[in-house]
Amino acid sequence: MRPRIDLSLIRQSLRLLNDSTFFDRRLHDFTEHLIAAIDHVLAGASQYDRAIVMQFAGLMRRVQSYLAGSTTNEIPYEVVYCLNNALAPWVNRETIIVTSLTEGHNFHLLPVDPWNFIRTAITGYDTGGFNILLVMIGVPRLYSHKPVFCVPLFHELGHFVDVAHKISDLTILRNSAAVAPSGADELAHRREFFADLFSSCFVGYAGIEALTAIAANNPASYTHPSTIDRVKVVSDFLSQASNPIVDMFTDAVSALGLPSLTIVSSKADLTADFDDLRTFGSSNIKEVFGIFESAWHYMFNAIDNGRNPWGLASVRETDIETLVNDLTEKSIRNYALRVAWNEAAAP
Amino acid sequence: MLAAASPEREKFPYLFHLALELVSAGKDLPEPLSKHMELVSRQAMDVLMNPAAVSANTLPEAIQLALQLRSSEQLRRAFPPDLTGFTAVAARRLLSLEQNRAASH
Repeated sequence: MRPRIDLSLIRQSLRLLNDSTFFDRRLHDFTEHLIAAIDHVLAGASQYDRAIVMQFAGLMRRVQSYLAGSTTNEIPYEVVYCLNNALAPWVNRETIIVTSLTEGHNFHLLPVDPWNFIRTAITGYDTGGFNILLVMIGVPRLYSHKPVFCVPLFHELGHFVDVAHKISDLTILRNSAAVAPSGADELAHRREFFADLFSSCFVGYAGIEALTAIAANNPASYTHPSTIDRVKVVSDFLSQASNPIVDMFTDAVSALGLPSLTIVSSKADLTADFDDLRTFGSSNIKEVFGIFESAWHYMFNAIDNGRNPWGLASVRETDIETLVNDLTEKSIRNYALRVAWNEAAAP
Repeated sequence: MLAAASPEREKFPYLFHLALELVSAGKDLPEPLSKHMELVSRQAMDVLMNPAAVSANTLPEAIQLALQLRSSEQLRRAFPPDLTGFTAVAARRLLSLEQNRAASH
């Protein structure tokens, strides 16, 4: 379609979206700024080359599609809260994470940054310093309120960080010795290793245990390392054993002035609380991250060993799963509410 | 999955690509876009020649472009030597190479 027509349609859609209730109030500001930028281009499109208007329209289409999926009340707020906290040290700008619920088992994470394009190419429009990055995550609808099962999102966040900073790309320039089998995609393999390592900083072994649950014996493919190799790299990292792939990424993030790859979570000793059907009270965000690994192990220990500390007449796997995910969700929510309350009450 | 190999990865960073499109058509670049193109080109060459020189100020687009240049002598030869003199011919050549790489992936 013609870019001006597309922009008008997108503008209409954004206006409708902004009149409904976004989950995050900042999305209203974000959308208003976008509408203003689109209005500017539509009012004076002749001042911009058609190629610029076309790319702008393409970018706006993408943003509109992300925002359209964000008004639902099915968003996994607690997981998004954790992802925001994990991401903050790695991007030096405000970020809004929006969610689309996917059918099937599809986790993904896609960023979009309209402001860099607008500052560089739509030069007649003043962004006023507005610079919020929008990140859309795809979560399987089945898992939208199952935070323990959303552990793969930390892996996806690792991909986002990698691609945003071109970390794996840099490792090839600085360490050209192949880590992928001959004929495989070297960059893709390194990106998977990085995403696994990044995830493990926050959710410990839960990330690779989730991988093992899905793809236990996968050999190396064109795009992915073998599961065995992925497990080894993360295990070495978490046990602080020497590993050349870990060293390679440590070197790259250091060269780029990024945070180091270190274990950010701390153990959440939640067994007694969950046995008593109580939420776990985290003292800090590190313990919140630690909930994911601890809850994962708690759940599968209970399922695999037939634990029933709750005194229920009978316990099925689905009962344990529901109970643990529910307590996990509420534990994270309680912490988030406490933090918000304390911030609001601060003098 | 974000990192799956795809033809998108063979494309130039999107603002650099836009700049090439405009130059190839004989159009003037907005000044910020022109500066961006020059900066990305220069940093990409610097990183390519000396990956140890990367810093927090190195643009991700420059790293992406450096990796693309590393993998293709044709791309390297299509870059103007002084990195500021992208002619329409050079821009068209680079866009053509980009298209071929994306199509063959």
